[in-house]
Amino acid sequence: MLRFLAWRLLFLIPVLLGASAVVFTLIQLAPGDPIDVLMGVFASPEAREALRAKYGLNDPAYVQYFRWLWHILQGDWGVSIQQRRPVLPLVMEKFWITMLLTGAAGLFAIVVGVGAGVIAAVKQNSLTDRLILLVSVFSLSMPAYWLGLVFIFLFSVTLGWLPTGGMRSFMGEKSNLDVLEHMIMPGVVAGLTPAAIIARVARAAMLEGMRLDYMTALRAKGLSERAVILRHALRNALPTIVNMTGLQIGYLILGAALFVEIIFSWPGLGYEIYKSVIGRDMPMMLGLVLFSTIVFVLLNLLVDVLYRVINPRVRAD
Amino acid sequence: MDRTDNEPIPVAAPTGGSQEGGWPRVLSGVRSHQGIAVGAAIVMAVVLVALLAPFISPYDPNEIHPIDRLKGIGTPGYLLGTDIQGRDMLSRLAWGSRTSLAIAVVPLAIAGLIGLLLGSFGAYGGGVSETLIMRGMDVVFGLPPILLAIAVAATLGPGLFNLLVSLTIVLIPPMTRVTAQVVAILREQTFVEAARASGARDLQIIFHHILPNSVAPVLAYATSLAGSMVVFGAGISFIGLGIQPPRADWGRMINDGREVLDLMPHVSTLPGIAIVVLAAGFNFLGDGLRDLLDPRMKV
Repeated sequence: MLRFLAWRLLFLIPVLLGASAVVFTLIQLAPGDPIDVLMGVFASPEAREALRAKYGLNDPAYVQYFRWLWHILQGDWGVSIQQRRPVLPLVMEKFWITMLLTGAAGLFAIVVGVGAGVIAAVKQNSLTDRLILLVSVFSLSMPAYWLGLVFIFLFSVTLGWLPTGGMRSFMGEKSNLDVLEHMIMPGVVAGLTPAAIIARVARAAMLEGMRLDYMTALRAKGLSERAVILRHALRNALPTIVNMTGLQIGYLILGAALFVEIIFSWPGLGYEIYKSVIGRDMPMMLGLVLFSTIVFVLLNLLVDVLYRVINPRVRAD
Repeated sequence: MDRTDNEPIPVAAPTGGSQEGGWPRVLSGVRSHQGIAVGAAIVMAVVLVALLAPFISPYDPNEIHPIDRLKGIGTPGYLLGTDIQGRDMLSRLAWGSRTSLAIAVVPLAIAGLIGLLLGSFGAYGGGVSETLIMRGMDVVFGLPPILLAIAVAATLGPGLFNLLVSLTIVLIPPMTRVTAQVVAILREQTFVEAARASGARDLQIIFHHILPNSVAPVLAYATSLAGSMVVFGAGISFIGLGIQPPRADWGRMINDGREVLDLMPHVSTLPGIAIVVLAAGFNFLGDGLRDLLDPRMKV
């Protein structure tokens, strides 16, 4: 286990270096000359050249890359053009807001996904099973940014049950209950696709285990069906389910949540990426992408470790 | 896009003999598999709409009718109503199917080809080349795919071509990885050994035995991603990157309708339904092909 952990931690280095190189390349590819931005297009060639030299823009790309990396490592992530504030603290602030939404969506996905998967497996080939599979295919095909609109139209505009977006009400009390109310719709919409995927994986993993002989042995022993399913079949399917759930949560924070945050104006990482894309705020956008990548990589590591902890079969080697 | 990578990739067990076994079995399976039939029918229907767009559309998709703005479904002259600018919804939906299909098929086809080559050469050679290619892919994998595509699209600038490029880049690692998994199984098979024993060179083996046998499972995997690509590609256009106005695109159309959601919900709803239907079609098709080509996945 320790060996595995050390090995995985070591492998983080090339992955993060590679990811940072990709982000750096994107900065280089971004249209527009920074000198134009700083001096305007009418500056004399000599002045431009002087400024180029001053900022080291004439150095070879790899020199510029390592200089940039050095700044990143020291916590200097540049300044957001739109908000005129350092990127790193801004990103951290947004990260926790996204985590809040991810928590809600993840909870929904796990409860609904595992529940539906187990029911489908127990009632294999029944109408319920087929219905669950059908719903899961449509959930996978449902764009979150569209479903969000439909939900807003139904539950906010038509029925007036839930707020249309944002994280807090402008007026009235500033309670946690208020935040919770704002979290329901985005949480469900963001959790739907992961729920569908988890349901499919849970169903397959359960069926795999339920085919084995020990299930018959347990029943022969006189165990109730409930205990057989929940205590044994589900327990054995758990590593697979946890693995997939972890990965799905990763996607949630760094992908699906983006569209949901935009639709519901949830002020997290995704909404911030959207604003930086629209406002052509490259330092902010790339900072957000880099930060998200680090989170993504660490989360994948965590999932791998967790998978080993709860799965004795893998733990052995 | 949610299930592009990291999901343990279900690899089809190679079909054994290099000549028979594969495609005939697939074809007979297609006839008996419900999901494939439903999925194929939906996708074919959308392809038909895309091909016949000039004949189906009553108007030019970009033609503005200032007097007939925001007409509801069933208005005489406008079967599916009009949008904020008074453009015919039916015509825009029909033409929009072309971009959605392009987004679903083109990046997967290109990334699939690159992945097939990289994956088969990498995995067949084993050793250093395999490690190099696969670890390189892991590094690109390190980036969350949706963000990578958005970052690339934002850097390259808007437009259909740049959208296709960014989606292709994101798809190369999963396609390479799935090919490598298939090839790793294939290279141990007896018919490859037999070919090697009879004096075939590595290149010959790769092109005559490894590649033809990897195509089917890789194709099945690619199909299972196509639905997510439809959803995700339209999403990029929805947030303002990708397809630019006035070109008709389902993702853009959803965004166009946001402002009038409470007045005229059909402007956003119709393109949304179109995306769900096409994506579900690809997902049914992909699931079915996966079942068919991978006996281990069948439960």
